[in-house]
Amino acid sequence: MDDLARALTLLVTTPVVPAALACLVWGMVGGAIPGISSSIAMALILPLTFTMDPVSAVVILATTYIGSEYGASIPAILIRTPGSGSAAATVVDGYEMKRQGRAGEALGISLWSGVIGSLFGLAMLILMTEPLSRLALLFRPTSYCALGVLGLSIIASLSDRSLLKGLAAAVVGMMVATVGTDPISGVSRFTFGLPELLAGIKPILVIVGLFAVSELLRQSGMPDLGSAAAAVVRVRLPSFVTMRKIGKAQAIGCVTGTVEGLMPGGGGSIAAFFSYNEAKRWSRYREEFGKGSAEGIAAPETANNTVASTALIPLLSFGIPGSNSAAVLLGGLLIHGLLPGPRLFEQNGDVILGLYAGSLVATLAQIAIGIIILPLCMWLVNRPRPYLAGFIFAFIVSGIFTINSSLWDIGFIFAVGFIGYLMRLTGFPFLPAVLGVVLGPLVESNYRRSLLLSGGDHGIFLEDPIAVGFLIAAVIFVVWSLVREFRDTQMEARKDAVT
Amino acid sequence: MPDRLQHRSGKFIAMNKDVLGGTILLALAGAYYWATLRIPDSSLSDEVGAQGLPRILALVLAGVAALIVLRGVMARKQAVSAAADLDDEKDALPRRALGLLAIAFGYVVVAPLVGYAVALALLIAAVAVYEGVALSWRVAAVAAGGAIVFWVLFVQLLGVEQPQSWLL
Repeated sequence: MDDLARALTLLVTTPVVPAALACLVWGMVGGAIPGISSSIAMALILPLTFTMDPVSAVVILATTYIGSEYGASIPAILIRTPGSGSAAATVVDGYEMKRQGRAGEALGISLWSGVIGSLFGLAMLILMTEPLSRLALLFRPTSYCALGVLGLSIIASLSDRSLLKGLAAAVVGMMVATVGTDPISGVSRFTFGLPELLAGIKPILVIVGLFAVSELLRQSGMPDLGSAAAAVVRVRLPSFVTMRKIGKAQAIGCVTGTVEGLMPGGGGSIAAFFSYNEAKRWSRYREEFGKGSAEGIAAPETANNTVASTALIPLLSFGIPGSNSAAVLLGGLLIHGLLPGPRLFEQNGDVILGLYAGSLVATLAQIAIGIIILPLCMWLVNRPRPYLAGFIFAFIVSGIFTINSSLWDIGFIFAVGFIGYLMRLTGFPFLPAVLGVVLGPLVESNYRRSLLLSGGDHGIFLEDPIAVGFLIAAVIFVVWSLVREFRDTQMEARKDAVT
Repeated sequence: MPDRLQHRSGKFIAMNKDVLGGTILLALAGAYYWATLRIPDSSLSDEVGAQGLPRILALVLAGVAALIVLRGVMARKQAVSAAADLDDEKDALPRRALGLLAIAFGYVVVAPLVGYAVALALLIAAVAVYEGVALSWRVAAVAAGGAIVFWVLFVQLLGVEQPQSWLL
């Protein structure tokens, strides 16, 4: 009851409510623009949180995530182009419904399912996060170091199906994190005499550069997508009969979204497709899938909205982001000096309560705002891509300058953006690199702290059963991924030999 | 091009990228390790030292990069060599991205000279024209209007300082 009273106080005395509503709108608008995923929408607004109080900053990022998941379904339904990967499964039946003149119904099912998924995901977040974080009270420096290594190993092995490239990206990220002043001895590392590098490289610059700028470079020269339906579309919320019909699909979406959100590297895309397949398998109207099935929209939209909250569980409990967007949220926490884990709940409980309260407000307001904001989203989807690119660049340079009032930062993110573009071309994933930058200091500081305690003896890691468990798990993940990658390469080679 | 050749050509390009990417990473690992030799020692240092983890990272990266290169070289032997044409098509993309990057860096150069609003308008207009919009009064109007909106949002409403002009 104390927590409830504190949450209500936060709602009334802080700008949580306007921040939540404003960024719900931003998330929907950003998500509706193809090419701007939830992580990019969050990365674009991340610099603005620099000057805000921690509660507002976290709420802004979390509600942007929630809003963008619905926003991404708008172009998926209207112009067969998902606003982000997590809405790709919605295209199958959503666009088919639009072709049948039922676009409003499709958008209504997407919106309603998004609310269901968000509420369920928020409930899971509230119920599971604090108990899990209490496990971290047992952690010693060796445990934290091993946890960082495990987190990087999992993300490297699960993202993009190439462990080697994922590992390389993670290591490069950790190398970037070593730039600056060594926290223990005070000597400068890899600064090359540049005063701008003495304070190190802020993760936010890497996040915005890799996610936002590289995407703009990748889209350069691509043709416009064409306009959405000329007729005005209005959202039609599902009737009670339809709500009953899609109930099972939504339940499947909730479960798959929870499981995928808990797994580091899972993300909304996998949850959406998995739930679509399972909903089809268990549906009484299986033949309707692919031809404008309401369940075909309900399942993936419920799943990806559930992930928007459950991906925060491993982040808040252990500091391991479950998705790209959660990684951006971690960047937001670090900007304000907030470290995920049990201490976050003990020393900064208001931040957590604000996050819960803001997310609840945004979820409940989602229906009304989703209906009101649709014309703006449709207008934006129809804007010529060159103008959109220009405005996004303008947003980036304006936002980044707020951090240090430094043009150096702007130049730096463009350089990082180009590196990110090259990473895309050569198939290197982003998330391990971002995690390397974010978790690198955690791994190094706890590694050195551990050896300080043991007088330089690495055996201290073997004395901590939690650290041993994490390290064994990391080795298992790496070996399993190597074996899988090797086996896939062999199969490809045999297929080539046959053809 | 028949599907099987398309498939093998695509694999050839992918494996070339592996060799290129791995080679760049090997060079990066070498340069990073060389830079660790320039990190000064300190009497305040701990058992590991400021150079400890960086050297481990350099060695791990070198090992991983070597494996990537090796995988790329081994896979190349199985691919068709007639992929040069496809490579030429792909080469246009990095040049295009570099052009856009040059415009973006142009903002960094121009902003201290003409100030935030003017530089922003120029950025929006330049990106729009580069991305395919014909140069016209409409572009200028959209760019100017957009710059004003951003100026109001960031400078007036959010109270955030933006680049000032040395000249104006």
